[in-house]
Amino acid sequence: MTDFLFHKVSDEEKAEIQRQAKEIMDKFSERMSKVKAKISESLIERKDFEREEKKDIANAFPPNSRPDFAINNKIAKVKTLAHPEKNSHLKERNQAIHLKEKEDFRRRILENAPNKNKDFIIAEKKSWK
Amino acid sequence: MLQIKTRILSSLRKNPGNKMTTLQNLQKYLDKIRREDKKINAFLQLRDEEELIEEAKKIDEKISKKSAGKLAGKVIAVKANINVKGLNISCASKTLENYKGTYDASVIKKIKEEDGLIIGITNMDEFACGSSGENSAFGPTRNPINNQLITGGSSSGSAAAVSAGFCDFTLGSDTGGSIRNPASHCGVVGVKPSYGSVSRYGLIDLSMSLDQIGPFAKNVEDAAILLDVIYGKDEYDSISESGKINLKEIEKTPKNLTIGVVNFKIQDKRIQEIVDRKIQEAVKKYKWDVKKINMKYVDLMVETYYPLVYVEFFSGTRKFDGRRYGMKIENSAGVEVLRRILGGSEITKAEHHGRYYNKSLKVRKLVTEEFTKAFKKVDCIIIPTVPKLPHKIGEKITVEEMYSYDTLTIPSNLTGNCSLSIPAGKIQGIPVGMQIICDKFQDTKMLQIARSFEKLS
Repeated sequence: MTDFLFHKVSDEEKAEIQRQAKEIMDKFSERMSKVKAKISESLIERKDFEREEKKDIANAFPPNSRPDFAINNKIAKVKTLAHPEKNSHLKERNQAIHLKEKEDFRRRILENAPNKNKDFIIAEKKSWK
Repeated sequence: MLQIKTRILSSLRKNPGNKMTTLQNLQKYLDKIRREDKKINAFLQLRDEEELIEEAKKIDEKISKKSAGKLAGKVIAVKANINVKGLNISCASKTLENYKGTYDASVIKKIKEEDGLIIGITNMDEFACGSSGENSAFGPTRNPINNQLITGGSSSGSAAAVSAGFCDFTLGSDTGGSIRNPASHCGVVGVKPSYGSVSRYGLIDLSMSLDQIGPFAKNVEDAAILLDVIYGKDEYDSISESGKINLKEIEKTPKNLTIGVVNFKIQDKRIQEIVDRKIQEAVKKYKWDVKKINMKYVDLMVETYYPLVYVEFFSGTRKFDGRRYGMKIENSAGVEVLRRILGGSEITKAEHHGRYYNKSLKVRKLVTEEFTKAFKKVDCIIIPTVPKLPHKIGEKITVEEMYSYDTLTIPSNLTGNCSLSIPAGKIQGIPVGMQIICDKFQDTKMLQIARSFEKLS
C-alpha cells in the first residue's frame, strides 16, 4: 500500500521501486501466459513475407520530374509569370520571417539548455547533471 | 460557413442573449481562476494578462469584421505535455520545471489559426504517468465537485478546469484513459479520438503507439467543435490520416442503432446500474436495439497495457538526459515515473525471451480482432468509463488498485478505436461517466450517439 503523492525519491527507495516494478511485470506476464489462442509470430500483416526488390527505386524518377516536383514547379512558374515584382517582394518578406523564426528558435533552445556558452550546448561526457 | 453557423447556434442555445466579447469572456474566466484555483490547482501557468487582453481585443476586431475563425471568442487551456511556444511545458515534473516550448504543436497551430485564445497550461500527473492526478510535482489537482477527492488522471488539470468553469475547452492526452477517466470523475465530456486522427506532433509522449490528443468540454457539441478544428492529416505526424468531423450530422439522432453491452462485472455495481438505466432510457425513446457481446480478454487489459507503456516510456525518456533541457529524469522524477522507467529498463533487458513486450503485442492483436468482430454486429459499445468511484487524495492504495482505474478505458487505446466519456449520473453527489466506443474513424457517429444521450436529460 502506498500513497501516490509526489515526493523526492531516495536511492534505497529507487532500488525498492525497481524490484516492485519487475515483480508487477512478472505477474502480468504470467497472467498473459494463460491466453491459449494461437497468434502468429509476425505482428505485421502481409500476404507475402518477402518483397521483390525493385531496381534502383531511388532513381525511378529523374531529378525534378517526380510528380510532386512537377506540380510544384508548375505552380511556381505560373505565380512568377503572373506577378514577377510581387513575387520577389514576397520572397524577401518570407526570407526575413524565416530568419527571425530561426533566430527565435535558436534563442529558445539555448535558454532551455542547463549548460551552455554563447553558441553551444555544453554536454561533455560525465559532466551533465 | 456551415461550421461557423453551427457554433453560433450552439452558443445561442446554451446562453440565450449572450453577447459577451472575447475580452469579457476572458476577464470572466481570469477572475474565476484567481478566486478559486488556489484550492483546485488546475493551472500550472497562466499567460501574461496584458498579452492575453491584447490578443482578445484583436480577436474581437476580427469578429466585428466577420473574418474570425471557428474558435473566436473561446478560451482554451492546454495540458502541460503539449508544446505551446514560449509557455512552460513542464509535464508537471521537476525534470522540465523551467522548460519553455520552442514551437507550437500542430493542434495548437490549428487552434491559433481558428482564433482560439490560449489562456494557460494545466496540471497533470507527472509525464502523464498516473490515473489520479495526485503525482504532479506541483501538487495534486483537487476535484471541483468535492475537493477531498482525486480528479482522476492523467489530464487532471484539464478536466478540473472545464468542470470548475475556468475556460470553455481544454486539451488533454489519452494513453490508457487519461482524458476519459478524469472527465468521468469531474462530470464533463472527454473525447479520445481514433488513433491517427489527430496529430501528435508536439506532444511529449508517454507511449507512442497509444497516445492521442483530445478535447474536454462542458457538452458534446462544444467537444465536437474543438475536435473538428484539430482533426485530420498532418505532414509532421506520419501516422495521422485525413478525415473530418461532420458537425451538421451530430444533431441528428441515429435510427436503427444497435448498442453493444459487454457481459462482465465491474467493482461497483451502482455504476453499472446508472449506465444500464441510461441505455434503457435511450433504447425506449429512440427505438434502438441492444446486443450482449462477450469479450474474452477484457480481464487482461491492465496486464496487456502496462508492459507496452513501461517499455515505450523508458525508450521515450532517454532524451531527458539533462543535456539539452532540464535535469536527468532518473534524478528528478517521482515514484510512478521511476517505476515505469526502471521497470521498462528491466523488462527491455529481459525481452529476448519475448516475455513482456512481445507477449503484450500478441494479446493486443487478439483484443483488436475481438473489437473488429464486435463492430460487425453493433454500431457502438457502451460501458462505464471507470469501474469505481474516486478515492480521497493521499489515500493509500496498491499499485494494481491504481492501475485498475483504467481497466475499461484501455481497450480503446489498444485497438485505436475512438471513445468518449459523458456524464451519466451521480452517486452520493460524485459524477459517474458513461463510455461510448465506436470503430476507428467513426468519430462523427460516436459524437452523434453521445449527443442523443445528452438530449435525454
